[in-house]
Amino acid sequence: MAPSSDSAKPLWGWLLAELGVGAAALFATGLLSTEVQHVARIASACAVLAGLVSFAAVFAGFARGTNGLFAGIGAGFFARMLLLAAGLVGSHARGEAALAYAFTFFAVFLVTQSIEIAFVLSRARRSHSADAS
Amino acid sequence: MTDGAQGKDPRTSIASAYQKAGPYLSASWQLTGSVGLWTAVGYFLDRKLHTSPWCLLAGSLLGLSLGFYLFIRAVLALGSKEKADASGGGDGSLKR
Repeated sequence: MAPSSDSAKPLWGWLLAELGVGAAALFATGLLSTEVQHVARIASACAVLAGLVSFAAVFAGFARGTNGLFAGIGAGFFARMLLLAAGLVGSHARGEAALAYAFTFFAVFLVTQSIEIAFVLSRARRSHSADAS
Repeated sequence: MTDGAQGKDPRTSIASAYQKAGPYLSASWQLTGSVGLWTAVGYFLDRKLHTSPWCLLAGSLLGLSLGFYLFIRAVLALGSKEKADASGGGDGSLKR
């Protein structure tokens, strides 16, 4: 079940949701204290970038069956690990700032991961109903 | 309760949705818990050993890995349970 042109249109909704999470996170970092704002912005940007890479990997993998889906999830996992480490080291965050980085990254990560799960469930349900009819 | 010919009771469909989403929510919470726990352990080790941010980074990566392992294991167990339900018959709700 390769992604067809009619299935590409709803994909924009999922991508916009991921980008919306990123925008909301960047906006929310304005509520934090000035010492950790910069670090939290880097964390949000890294988490959204990792989420987009992961979403692309899951989308590509979904068309290739269960093994492809797990490969996509695995690729997304490694992208997140890499960007978590790169962002933390690159931001030179120490102490409380490092904790703020981790908290922001994982908060955005949880939401983007939930979007991915919702995407997989909705696509699976759609393909099951297409198989049934 | 109006279970019968009058149509679906909204309370029943909400309960059913929660029932279906429950295992996925629990798998997600395992991931969250593991990440939170190991990140906190890393942070406190950093404070004790003055190694910031390396223990926090190691704890985060460990928590992420462990959380993903638990998450994938839970999803696989869920998939095999659904498959077993579908092959063995059941109540007819959301079968693969």
